[in-house]
Amino acid sequence: MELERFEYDNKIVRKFLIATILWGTVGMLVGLLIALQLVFPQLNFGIPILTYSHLRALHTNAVIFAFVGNGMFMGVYYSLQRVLKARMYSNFLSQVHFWGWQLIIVCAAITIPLGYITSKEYAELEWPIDILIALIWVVFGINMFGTIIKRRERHIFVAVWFYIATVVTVAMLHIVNSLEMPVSFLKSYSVYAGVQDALVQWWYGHNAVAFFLTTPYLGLMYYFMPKAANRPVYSYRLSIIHFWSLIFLYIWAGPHHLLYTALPDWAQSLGTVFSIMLIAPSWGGMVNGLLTLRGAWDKVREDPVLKFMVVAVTAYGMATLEGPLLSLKNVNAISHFTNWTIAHVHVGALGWNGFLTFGILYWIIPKLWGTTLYSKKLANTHFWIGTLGIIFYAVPMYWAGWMEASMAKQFDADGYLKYQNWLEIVTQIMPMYVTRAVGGSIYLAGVVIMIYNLWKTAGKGKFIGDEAAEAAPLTREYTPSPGMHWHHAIERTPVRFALVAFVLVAIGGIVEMVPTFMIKSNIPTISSVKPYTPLELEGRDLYIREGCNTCHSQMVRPFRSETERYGEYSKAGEFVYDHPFLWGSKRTGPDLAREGGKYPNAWQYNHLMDPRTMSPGSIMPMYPWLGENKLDLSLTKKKISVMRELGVPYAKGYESQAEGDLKNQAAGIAKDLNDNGVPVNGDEEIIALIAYLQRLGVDIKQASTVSK
Amino acid sequence: MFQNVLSSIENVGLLPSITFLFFFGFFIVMVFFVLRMDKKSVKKMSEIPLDEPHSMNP
Repeated sequence: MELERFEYDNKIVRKFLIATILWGTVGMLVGLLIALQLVFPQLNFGIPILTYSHLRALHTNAVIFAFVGNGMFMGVYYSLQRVLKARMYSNFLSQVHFWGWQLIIVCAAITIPLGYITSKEYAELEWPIDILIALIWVVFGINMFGTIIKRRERHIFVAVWFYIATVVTVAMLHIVNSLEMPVSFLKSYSVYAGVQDALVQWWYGHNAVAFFLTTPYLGLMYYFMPKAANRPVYSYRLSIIHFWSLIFLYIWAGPHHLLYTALPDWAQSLGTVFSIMLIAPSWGGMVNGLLTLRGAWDKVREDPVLKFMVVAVTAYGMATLEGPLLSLKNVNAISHFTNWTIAHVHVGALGWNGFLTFGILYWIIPKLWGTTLYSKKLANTHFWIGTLGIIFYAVPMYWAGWMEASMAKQFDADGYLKYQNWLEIVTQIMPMYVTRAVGGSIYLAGVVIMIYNLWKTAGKGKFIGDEAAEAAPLTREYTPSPGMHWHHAIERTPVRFALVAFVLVAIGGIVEMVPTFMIKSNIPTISSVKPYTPLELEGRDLYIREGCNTCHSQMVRPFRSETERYGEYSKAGEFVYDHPFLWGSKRTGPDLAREGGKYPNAWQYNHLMDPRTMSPGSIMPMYPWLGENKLDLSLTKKKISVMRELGVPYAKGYESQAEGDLKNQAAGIAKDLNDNGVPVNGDEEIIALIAYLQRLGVDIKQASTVSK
Repeated sequence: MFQNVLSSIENVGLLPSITFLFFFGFFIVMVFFVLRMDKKSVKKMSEIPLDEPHSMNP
């Protein structure tokens, strides 16, 4: 058979590689800044866009979509061409994909700190950027499937299956979770409300971890580990089982983010059961990765690439065992809302994603520049510094999580909460916040060493932009080997393969969401729960803009320790008008679900302007700009009509009355503030936010008064 | 709209069990076939990443 000559495109790999390192450094720097702000709240320098609640989403988005995203594309564009023995389908699409993705990142880096966000975690971006993401993702998909179709290798290697599942599932998750009704160019409301919104969000949020941070990186593991160790994967059969079980099970596990919340019980249990089952394929994958090194462990002592990969796969194993354990209700009762979760995700992000990316970078750059690594010694130094950084990060966060939970749940002999004041807990965990920031700095120092080493490596080689290769084309006639018919039927035709994968991942979502959406008894309505007034609605949007939900939950779980501290536990019917839901996922500060009426307006005002005047020792940022900015009323009417379209029962034509009602309510609050010595005009943003805070939980309190 | 259609499904609680059985069946069938795979072709497939003899670069 005559061999065909072609060239691998290394230039696109280099582009994504540079983006990975650049955005990775930026994402980690932002993380370090906000970690330091938890110790020194003044480090926002009084600037809104540098404030913790504005930057936390930038940190998570930068690390997930900019660092790991570009890292994934780098590895995919390198390995896909080689296992399929074909150049990427279209140079043009590769360029559109690269520049489109960087444009999305830049848009995110501008809009998130400015507060143009939806509040849904890892899906904070507003609707025009959501559309751009969908388009660029389709470009990536076409480029990948085009390459698969013109391949010169009959069998599609298992790594590519993981890439296909990633493309298909992320598209589905992104589109379903981002369905929102625009109010203006940079403001929209989620079409789902309350419990349903929470379920869709955590179906998405969990699977963003599964199909953005895990499956593509498993694909990379299945390619780069055998390459680095120079031996085939331990068991190819196990990798097939790993793939199908993992993608099927993962999609179900979302509700484990909502244990003990107002989500229906059966959905919570389903999430737990599938999470526990996930241990099997996850560990199957980890074992498969580690055993690839059987008989080559002596190489691990020498080769920094393998060192990084071994720790990465081990971190994957640890995180995927811990995850299911955190999904048990009794464990989750302790871990949820605490820093334990922060420790858990950073074992995954710093260990699994970070270290696998570093391992690949150390391996791929000498290959692309046709040279050897500049300094093995520096790479080993990076490895040890990085490992130390992970430990210094994770251990204090675990400790903090356990301490928070045990202090928050402790009662004294008389049956009262031992630590009634939330600040007692916050001040106890300050040393852990300090150590965590130290751990993050150490990890980042390792990255700086890596950048120097890689820069020097590239400098001593010559970049090979188009790498010549040759392979025989595929023939039309083909007889599969015995016992292989069944899998060939789906695996040799990529489109059919993608369809099967799609059906598998769609089932989980449908079974969980359809009943929650369709059956009224799952969300019992509460007659005293009424829509927000226009002022409260504006205040709620400010709550979202300022990112209050980053540190404050609005979900009282049915534990005595929580009902004692906050009040009646939260019920599904309370959230029917909440587009989007604002339950939060972390309590750096106390829960706010029952905040209404707890403190006078003046207390809220002073606390927002400078939290430490009301709560000495608080680590909450100051929000003085809320007292200066005038409330923007230009969208109020539109907001009311969009909410009505989404099913919130505002009377027809209420828009014309809304502004008057808003001003009346604002005047009332302003008068109360003036009477208590706070000079305000009544048109400041802070008035709306206070109105919203004073409304939280009030409906349910009225309901219980009436029934008494 | 579709709310009314789907809310009329009886025994919707069986859905999770059905799905579990579906997966379990899928899993068993998959393991059965994976174990029956031809040894030689499995070996060949697993060596795809290492099989780059035709790259023209050193």
